[in-house]
Amino acid sequence: MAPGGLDPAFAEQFAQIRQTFILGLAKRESEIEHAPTRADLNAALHRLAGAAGAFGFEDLSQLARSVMEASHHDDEVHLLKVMAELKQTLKTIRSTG
Amino acid sequence: MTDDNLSSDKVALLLAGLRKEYLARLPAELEALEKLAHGLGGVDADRPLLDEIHQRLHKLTGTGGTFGFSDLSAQARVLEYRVKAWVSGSMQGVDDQLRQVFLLELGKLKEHLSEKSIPIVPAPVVHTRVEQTPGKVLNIWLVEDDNELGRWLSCQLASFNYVTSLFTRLADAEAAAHNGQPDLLILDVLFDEEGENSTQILDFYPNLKKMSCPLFFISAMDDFQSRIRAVKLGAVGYILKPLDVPRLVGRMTKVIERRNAPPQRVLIVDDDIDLAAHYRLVLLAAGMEVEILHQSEHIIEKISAFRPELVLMDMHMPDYSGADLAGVIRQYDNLQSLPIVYLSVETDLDRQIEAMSRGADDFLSKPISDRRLVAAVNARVERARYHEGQENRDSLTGLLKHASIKEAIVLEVLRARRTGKPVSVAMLDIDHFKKVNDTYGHAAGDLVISAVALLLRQRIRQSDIAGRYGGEEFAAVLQDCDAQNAHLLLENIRQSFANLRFNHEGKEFSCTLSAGLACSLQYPGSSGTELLIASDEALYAAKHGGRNQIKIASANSRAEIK
Repeated sequence: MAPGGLDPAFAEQFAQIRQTFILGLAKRESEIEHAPTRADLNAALHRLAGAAGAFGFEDLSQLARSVMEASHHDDEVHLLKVMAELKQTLKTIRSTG
Repeated sequence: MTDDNLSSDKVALLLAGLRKEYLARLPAELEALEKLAHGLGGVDADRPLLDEIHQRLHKLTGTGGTFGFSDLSAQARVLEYRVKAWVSGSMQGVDDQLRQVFLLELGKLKEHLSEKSIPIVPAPVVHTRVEQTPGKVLNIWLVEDDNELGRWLSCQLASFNYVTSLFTRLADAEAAAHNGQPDLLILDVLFDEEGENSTQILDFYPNLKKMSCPLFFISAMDDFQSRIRAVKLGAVGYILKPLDVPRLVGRMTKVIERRNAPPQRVLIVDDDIDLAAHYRLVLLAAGMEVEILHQSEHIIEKISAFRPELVLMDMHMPDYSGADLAGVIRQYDNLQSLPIVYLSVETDLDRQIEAMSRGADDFLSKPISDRRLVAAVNARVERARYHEGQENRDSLTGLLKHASIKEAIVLEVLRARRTGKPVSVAMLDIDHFKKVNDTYGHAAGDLVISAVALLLRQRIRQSDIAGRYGGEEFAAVLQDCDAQNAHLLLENIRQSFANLRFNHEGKEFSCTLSAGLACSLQYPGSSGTELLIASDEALYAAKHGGRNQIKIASANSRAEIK
């Protein structure tokens, strides 16, 4: 094993990817809000759920999945509720990073 | 393509830095939480406030755990569940007293930040691979008091690209160990002059004992106690004298090959750019080679070029679903056993099962932790490698079997046509092999065959492929190799093989081999099968030319191929 010595490249790459994700949240939210079809909505939610989980945003991931479920089951009331929570969470993350 | 390998130390340092940053932000976060909690009034209007508190506690539970603050995480979870229960119930029950207790416990969270409660974060999985290009020289240290035997063994080992440093005493090797380490250490068990048994006294030679390279013992004595001690010392082999060099080298090579297995190749198919980038980095850090597919239509080309050992497939993609792509992959004969693993948010069990019936082997649910992803991919690739070996490889030599090498040659020649680089096909055959079997028996014959296979495996590159074509016949396809270079390689093998001394029940004998080769440059437009036939004709010419020689096929001298 090579001797220890700070190699910023690796951690920096991880951090950069994470930052890109956070910056891209506005676009993702827009995709969700303005999805033309249900298929598009599901695709956008699916992507968000997956990516959010990988970057440590567990609740965001869970919410995205909840919205997918609510949409799948045609539960209007619940859909609106979780959608609101999702937006709130997105807002929180974007402001606190 | 691989990024630079990273040491565990470096990555651990980086993570420690990230953890420090997190620790620096925590006090402010906890303070904010407490402030929020103070705003609770025990009324229904509290709900949105409670939701926020719940969310923050949830985050603390998750990230606290990730950064190794397990006490903090556990406590935060307890409080999180409590708040969750309040939210889903009636606010009436949340009286003054309960709220006070909650506030108190919230305040206690910051106690889990003190130095003494910070646990050691286990180092992440980072692989360091010993770079070994086939044909590269490996260093062996041999400690053997019989100088003549030592020199004989060194000479034999040289044929297999092993450079031996000879020591007659353990003390000499111990001293040399201050300045370096070999790739492999071989120790004789009995040292007559000193009257010592190395398995008993290795403790007195700490440098030798703590070497991280594989250790072999050789001995004229088949002594159970010594064998047990050898095992306890972590030796990977205990070989009896008189030494059978091909057998010894076979064992040595297996051990070294296992250590230097090529990196696992993984293809990620996911339309989320951020996520794919993150997964790729995680797998890269674990020592794998990773590529990402952006355009799904090109999946087959990508698989042909990159030859992944596993495909991580997202199920839901805008243009083509993961299940459909898996279906296309399975349409190809040679891709039947390529492991396809769905990585998807899909939580519905029925839909997961249905997806698996469309050609995938397994299902991993997103989100997935980095460690779990690495473990899951690693396990599946290793299992696939094992099965591929069992199915396609000859058990004696570890080379591809007849059908597999033929197929490989066809594919490799096709690939070479695409890249425009020359490719050579070679056929090798042991001379007078029947005589070896008749004179010394089949066990001896097997050893001779193993020796040729070993030489082949050691000399060819990662991009080359070799197989056992028949009983004593071998075939190989060499990428980016013209006739001259192929000839050089085969000459090298021919000479090394001729220099080997096999030992059967005290009788020493040697063997030779003949070979023929054909290069695509002399046979433009020829298929792999045609090149194989041409190389076979060249082999025939070598046999008839007196054996123990290599012949290059030339289009002029050959009969017309239909």
